[in-house]
Amino acid sequence: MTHSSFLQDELKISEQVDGDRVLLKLEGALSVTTVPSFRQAVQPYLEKQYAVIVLDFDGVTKIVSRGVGAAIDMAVQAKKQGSKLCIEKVGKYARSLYIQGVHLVAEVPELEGFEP
Amino acid sequence: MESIGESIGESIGESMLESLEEPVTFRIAIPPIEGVEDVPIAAVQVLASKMGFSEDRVQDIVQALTEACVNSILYSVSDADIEVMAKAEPKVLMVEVSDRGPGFDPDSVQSPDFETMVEIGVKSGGFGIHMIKALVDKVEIESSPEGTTIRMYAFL
Repeated sequence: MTHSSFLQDELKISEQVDGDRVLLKLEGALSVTTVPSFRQAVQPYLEKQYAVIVLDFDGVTKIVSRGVGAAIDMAVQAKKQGSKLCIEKVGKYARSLYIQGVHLVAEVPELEGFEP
Repeated sequence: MESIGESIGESIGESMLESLEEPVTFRIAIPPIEGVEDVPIAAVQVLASKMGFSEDRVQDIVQALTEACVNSILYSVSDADIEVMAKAEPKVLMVEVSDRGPGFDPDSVQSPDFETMVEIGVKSGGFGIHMIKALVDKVEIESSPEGTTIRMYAFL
């Protein structure tokens, strides 16, 4: 049971398109509240089949496993259609992403050779 | 012969040492509203830092507590408060999250199936309990139809 509240989490996503590559910068919380809008915001880029979709996590202030799960679903969809999802600047969330196996479906430079 | 001053000094010193070893406990109750869990999480983050946990370990504790709080909020069936209790001892931090949700069978929570995940994704839910177990040193879960308590321990 969740209620809407003036205290609820927010997530903003801005885009930078460069040919067949799109960079999506996330700012705010990747939480249960914001996961639906996260999925909704990224889906059009998946459907346009950019060769590379980059999620920039530098501005992410909070992560929950469901948010990471959404990124995993996006990476699987991208892979199936021959494109690639990259997640950059994961910083302090590296261990959480590693535990959830994000590196198995997405390209995460900070998790290459990562030792938890 | 021992002076009165020395005697008082010793007894004050001893009692101060004793108090330094005493656990420090606090409780914060929050309504089941997503986003409000940031308040007790911030308090626990400060506590863990003051105890001397490294930055990475503090983040692990914060992440585990986030998952526990979010689960409690998601599965709440009433407006009953969720309680976060933290107990700091010199070498142990214990954080407990209690809710009055419908409960679940902790033994029925399966480990993630990464082979399936790679093929079809996650689709629903997350890896909350798996995350918590991976991020802290010890986890205890008590659950019944009256509610759930998740107790997480991190050792210095």
